[in-house]
Amino acid sequence: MTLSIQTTHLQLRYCDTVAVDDVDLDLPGGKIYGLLGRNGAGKTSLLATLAGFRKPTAGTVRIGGEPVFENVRVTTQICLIRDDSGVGDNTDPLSDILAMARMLRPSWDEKYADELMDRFALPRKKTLGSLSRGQRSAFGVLVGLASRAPLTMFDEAHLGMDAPTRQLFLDEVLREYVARPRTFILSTHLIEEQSPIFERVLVLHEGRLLLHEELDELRSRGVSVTGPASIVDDFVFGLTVLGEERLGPTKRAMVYGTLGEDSLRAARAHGLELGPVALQELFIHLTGGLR
Amino acid sequence: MTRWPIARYLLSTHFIFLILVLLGFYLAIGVVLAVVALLTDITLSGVDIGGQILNWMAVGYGFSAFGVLTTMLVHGRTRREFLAQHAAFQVILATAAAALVTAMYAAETAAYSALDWGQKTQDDRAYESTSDYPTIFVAYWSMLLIWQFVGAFVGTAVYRWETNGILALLPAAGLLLVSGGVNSFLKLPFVDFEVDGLLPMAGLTVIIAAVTWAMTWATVRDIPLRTQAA
Amino acid sequence: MFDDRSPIYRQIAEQIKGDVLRGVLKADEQVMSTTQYAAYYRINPATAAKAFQQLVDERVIYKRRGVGMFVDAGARQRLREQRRERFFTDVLDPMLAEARALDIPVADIVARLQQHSEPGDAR
Repeated sequence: MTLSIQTTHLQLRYCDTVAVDDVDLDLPGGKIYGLLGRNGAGKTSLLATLAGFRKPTAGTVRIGGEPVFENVRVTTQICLIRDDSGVGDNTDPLSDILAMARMLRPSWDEKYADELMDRFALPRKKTLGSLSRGQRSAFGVLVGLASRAPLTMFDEAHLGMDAPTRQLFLDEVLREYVARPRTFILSTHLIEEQSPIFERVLVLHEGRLLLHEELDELRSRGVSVTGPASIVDDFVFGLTVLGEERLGPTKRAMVYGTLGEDSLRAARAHGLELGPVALQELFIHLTGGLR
Repeated sequence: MTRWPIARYLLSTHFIFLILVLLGFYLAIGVVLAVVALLTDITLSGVDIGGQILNWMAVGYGFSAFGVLTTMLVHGRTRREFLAQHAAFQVILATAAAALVTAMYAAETAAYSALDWGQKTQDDRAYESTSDYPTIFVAYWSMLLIWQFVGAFVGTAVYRWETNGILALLPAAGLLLVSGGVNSFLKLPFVDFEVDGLLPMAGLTVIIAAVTWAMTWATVRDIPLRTQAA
Repeated sequence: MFDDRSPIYRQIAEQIKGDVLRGVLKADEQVMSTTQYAAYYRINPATAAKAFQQLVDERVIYKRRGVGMFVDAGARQRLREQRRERFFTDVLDPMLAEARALDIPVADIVARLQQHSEPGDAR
């Protein structure tokens, strides 16, 4: 089972700051979404409203067509795991937290949870508070996966994990997704590492939805144009230029959008070098460049 | 889907733990009494002295409600479920604990008479003697219930409003003072009324608890789950 | 595994074509399923599916319902023809341009090529 997500004019304000501003989302269920954005872009706030952790200041959130805030039919089908997890009390042994989750989550899979405990090599008898940062994150991820919630969201849930554990995390998400499709949203700064498992990418910037695109679409969106400065300038005139770099007489411009056949021919004729732009670089420039 | 999952969880874990804590508490009192008996004659009811501490244990446990709330939200439960089921659990807990305390009075009476010790109660208790079990039960039930509820109110208010949440202590103190008139556990000179009869005592307890619960409801109904950093 | 620039599905398609071309994947041999492929390379299954769809459209592979996907018998030949056409423009021309920039005489290149295609080494 999967859940779709719709928001209209969604806004979340804390006293004097607008964390999420007029966000309209229409996300079909059963996909893995990547949520990207700089620190403070509103990722955590957006996910918190989607999960019913916070009530929107304005606008609506519908999950599977139903309002989410205080709607137990929907909230029991949503699992949002954050890097600080909060899945239990620090004094609770992990086995007790698993037993609790089993009582609270209708779709909890105990056997799967046990498997994951082994796979992540987590100590059942130890308390949550005594875990290392990485183990804590792994346990949060485990709770999210074993919840089998039709909408499962990980808000930088990988923080503190070492590289092999992060890889295990991605493998498990994929394996689960293939075996039992559900809607996943992963927010992350690890663009190069995690983006291959995304089907679509959402980029938040200053509380607003900057773009929502298929990953592969987005990857083909950036073109770097390199050559003598004046020729590059002429060529990119009228195109969306995200950034420029100069090295002596050579200039490299990053263009957003796909180039037509004519442009490609013109570039070759002028001896310009065209190349792709890495997703991370594209992201950096789309969200305001290096500052 | 299982019904009342939060209450079930609390009953299967917190309940057992807290009853064990209570038993340990009385065991400790027994040990203290044994030591004191070596030095001097016992004239006071140890269980009754313990009653002075139980209210603080109740308020402390109540205060931790915000932790239960946030954990429940993370596991997909709602605030409304918490408000109903956590309150129901506290009623059950207060009832069971009051019954246990009453049994302790009975056990103490048996032990004291065997040892020929004096079992005087503290001043201003609602019950006249340590064998007035109905009154002991209702007075303790009233105290345990109200102090737990007040603790839950203050705990969630502090979680919600952080430093400003301390203002919740004002209505909380007011409620506890009034409850002192009902069950006689918190007797301050200026709370100058007393309730006679078990039914009025129980009825007023329910009213005070309901008022406290309503304030907790107002605090919790749309409480945001905070991120640790913010 | 994949470079982080061009669309992943295109890279997958190219890889499989390469395998067919070099004979690693033989005619009517079954190829990995999209889910196996996704898990193996840690990519989204939809991305893998898109690559496979492209390969089906280009008749490199064909689907058998409920069984899986197999290499088209004529795929290797067709790919060879396509690549042959592109060989001179895509491979040889840039090489000659590089050689010119480095002042390598064409004769040296020819000599080297002949040395490499001695009997026994040639296929």
